[in-house]
Amino acid sequence: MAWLTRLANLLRRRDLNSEIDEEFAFHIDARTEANIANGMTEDEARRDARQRFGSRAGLREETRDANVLVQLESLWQDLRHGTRMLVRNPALATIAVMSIAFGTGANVAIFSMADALLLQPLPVAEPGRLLAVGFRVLLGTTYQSAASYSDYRDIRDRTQSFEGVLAYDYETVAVTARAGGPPRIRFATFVSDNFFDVLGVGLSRGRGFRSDEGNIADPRPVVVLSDSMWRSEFGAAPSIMGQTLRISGIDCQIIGVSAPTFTGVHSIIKDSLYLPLAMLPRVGAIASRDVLEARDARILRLKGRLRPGVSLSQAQAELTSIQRDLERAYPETNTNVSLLAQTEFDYRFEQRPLDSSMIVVLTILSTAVLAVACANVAGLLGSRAPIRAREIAVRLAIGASRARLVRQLVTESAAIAVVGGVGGLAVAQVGIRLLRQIRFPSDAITPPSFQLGERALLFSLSVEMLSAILVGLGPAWQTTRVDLCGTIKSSDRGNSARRRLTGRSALVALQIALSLVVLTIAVFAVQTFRSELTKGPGFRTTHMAKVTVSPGQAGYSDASTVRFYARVLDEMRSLSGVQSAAVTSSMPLFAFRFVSLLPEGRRLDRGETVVPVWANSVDEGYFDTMDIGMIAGRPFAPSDDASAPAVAIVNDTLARHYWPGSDPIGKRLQILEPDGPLVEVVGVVRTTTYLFPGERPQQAIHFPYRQRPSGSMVLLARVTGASADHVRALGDTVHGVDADVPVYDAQTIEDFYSARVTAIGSVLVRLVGWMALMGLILTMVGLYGLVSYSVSRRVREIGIRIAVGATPARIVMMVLREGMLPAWVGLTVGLAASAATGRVITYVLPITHHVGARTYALVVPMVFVVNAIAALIPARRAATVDPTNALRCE
Amino acid sequence: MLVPKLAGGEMPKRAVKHPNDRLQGTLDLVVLKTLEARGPMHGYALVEHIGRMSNQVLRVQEGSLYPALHRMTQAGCLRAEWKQSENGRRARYYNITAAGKRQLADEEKNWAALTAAVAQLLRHG
Repeated sequence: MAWLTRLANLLRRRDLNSEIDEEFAFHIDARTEANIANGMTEDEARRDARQRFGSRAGLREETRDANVLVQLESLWQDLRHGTRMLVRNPALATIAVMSIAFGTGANVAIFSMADALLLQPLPVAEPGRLLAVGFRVLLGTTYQSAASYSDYRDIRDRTQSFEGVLAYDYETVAVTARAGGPPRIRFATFVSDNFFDVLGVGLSRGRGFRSDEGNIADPRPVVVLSDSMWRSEFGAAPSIMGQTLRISGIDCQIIGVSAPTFTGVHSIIKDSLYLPLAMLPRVGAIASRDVLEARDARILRLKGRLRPGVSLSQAQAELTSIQRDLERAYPETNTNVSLLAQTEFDYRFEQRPLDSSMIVVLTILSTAVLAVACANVAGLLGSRAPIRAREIAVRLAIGASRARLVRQLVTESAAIAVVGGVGGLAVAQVGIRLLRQIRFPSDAITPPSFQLGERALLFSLSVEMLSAILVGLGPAWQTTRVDLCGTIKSSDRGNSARRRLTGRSALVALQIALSLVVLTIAVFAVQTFRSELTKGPGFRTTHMAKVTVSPGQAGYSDASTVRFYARVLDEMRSLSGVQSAAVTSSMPLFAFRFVSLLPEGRRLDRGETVVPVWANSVDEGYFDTMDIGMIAGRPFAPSDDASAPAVAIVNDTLARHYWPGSDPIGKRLQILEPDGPLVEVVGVVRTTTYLFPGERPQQAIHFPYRQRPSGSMVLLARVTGASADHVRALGDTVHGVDADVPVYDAQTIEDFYSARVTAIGSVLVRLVGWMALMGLILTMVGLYGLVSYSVSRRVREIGIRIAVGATPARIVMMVLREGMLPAWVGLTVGLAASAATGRVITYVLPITHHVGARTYALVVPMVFVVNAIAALIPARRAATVDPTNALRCE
Repeated sequence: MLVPKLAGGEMPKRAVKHPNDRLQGTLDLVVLKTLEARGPMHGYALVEHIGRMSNQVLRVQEGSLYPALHRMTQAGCLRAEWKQSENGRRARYYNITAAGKRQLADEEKNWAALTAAVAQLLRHG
């Protein structure tokens, strides 16, 4: 029934005070009467009754607070009180709210990016119990978690820790939805037959894979569509079930559609279709038959669902023992590798090292901006402490509890945080719109959706609460820790003022240090980006059209693929406006293929591993078309075909790495693959950019495509006039040779380069730049506030100085000198912190550029000048103090 | 809140007010017990009664009873209503509820255990 009482209380809350008063009055009157009856005079009786009762004001407050609803009511009062305070100080409120808006906004925008790329849990049942399992395999410059099909079977059959282990791999396939229609390139997920079961994902239609459909020797051509693909390609037609879909030249029967909530196990590849893993050697671009047989063909990704109650470390211990067994059984292939279980987050973090590093750096920056903002608001609220001290002291004296007052002050800052947080959402929306400009230059990929979703809102709320507490607690504590008598008696010039000023100077110094860090990173980003843009990637980025062509997806063999490309190239070269044409199996800055190699005769020491190098297969026109200069030797020739000796062209980084100081021409390299050839180096080319702009020089090797054919290659044409005019002609030429060959990612090199480099770069630079600007403005406001405050407390002193003859210039200098003290401290600390952050950047981002003198030379004067201006404005005002007024006022 | 009478008859200005304090619990116990035994009472009568029954050893600082009464009312242990008092004025009467009786039984058990333990300690050191 307690709630009824409370409800009743709510309805008559207005009466509560008068009720308490009446109750108290009754008591005191009763005691007085009793005293009179005992022989006291009326005055004596009443005095005694009051004394025995105790402090009525304090007791009333305490009694009121005993009522739960009154506590809620007092929260509401605090909130109203707080907002009223803010409305009465519009300048303070605006600055405080804007500070919080900047701080939370930057963090929410970065969070939405981190969420889309790293944090969002998989859209499966109980994602927390799903772990990534695999061998740590060095792919290019990064480690990946992968396993071969044979490994997979062994792990799946031996494990006790996991309920089930699934395997999958992505490959592009050509999908022909309508007979006679153009084939479209899509990412297919090739999956083990238990895929949907282990994930705990249902199908909205049809069925998942049966175990006999996973049979490697006799794969069944069946396919499960993703819900989005079913809608986009087939208009959600229910009749699609049981029909066939032509996938890379093979008719596959549609057996099901996945649940709409399931968007795959990858953050970017969402619009997918699912095929049995057994189909991979037949449909995928990997033509080799033994991809599922060789134990060292580690191309699959594995995920295992932990049994309930089993921990990650238990699963890891079991995997380690499985690996030891495998090492004994297959020493050839399973030595020197480690089998790991990782959480989804760790797995993604390692899978996407560049994104992850970027997110780490951006998170550091946005946190710094938030810290600057919070320090700003804390400083502002702290500056009001002396003004409010008397109000607080009076309330403390009449018996308000300290906790109650602290709560009121924290509620005020919470009001700032909430209003600021709403503004922060607007700031975040601007940031997210900026992030959305990041494009992926491919038809097969759905860009990640950066959005202000539920999770971002929740995150923003927690940031607001955190900043409210950070901002409110300090000043609240300070304000309520007042010396009662001293404060009530004197004016607001307590002797704690100096201490308060020191505390605030420290806050401002911290702001300056943090904003210096953010600005350093921003200027570094701009300098890096600009120098990369000026330098270029080392290959042609104008007047070129490109298109990806996949005869391998249309049933071509290796030999016929080579003939096909040769013919297409011939036809293209005869087109008007085409100056030269070429093919490459991997487009630099886009596709990453690596091979492992060693110079002939060099043996690996035990425990030593080979760093795989970037590789592509190209024709004889490639270097000329792409403007990549030859340093030594000869380009490829049509005669470098399957019947000729195996040759290769390396870049100068590779040449210097293996043969420093000697001529690489004529040297031979062993390609470390099953039946890998020994290739002779016939030429050396300049090192260009291969993975991302600003990368450290990469080793690279190029093969003649006749000797190392690829089922899918990028066709390049250097053209006169606008590149856009020729894009279509490229596809038409290919289809003129064979209309069944899929053609995709047709674009100009300008669009490609802009999407891969310019757009991402400018988005990042602008993001970081905005954060730095926010930090700088907030810092300026902070220092300005500090100096103004200190001037206002010294008006009398300044007045005396002027009266005894100090010149305005001296006053300005005096205020400046003192005001710039926190700036000096901040600059010094900030420089140290920037150097440390620079180290972090060099460590997490594998780029050539590093934060150095070039950056500091710009940043330090900038921060100094901005802060000097912030301090100069109040200093000049101090010099205009009228001594007579200053001395008169109290 | 509930303090032993001091030698000079002076009382400390403000008594301990932590809600979990042992003495606080004791006040609750005494109030609940009194109301259970004597039926509805107003605050003044409660103070008088507790003082009389304990031979003035337990003297409540009179006002400090009220926050406790309101707190127990909010918690559902007591019910309060305004009624005509013996002298004809309106007074707020408190009565124990069923929940209050359960609470009282618990508190009595605790109290017995505590006093037994203290007695034991005093006897054997």
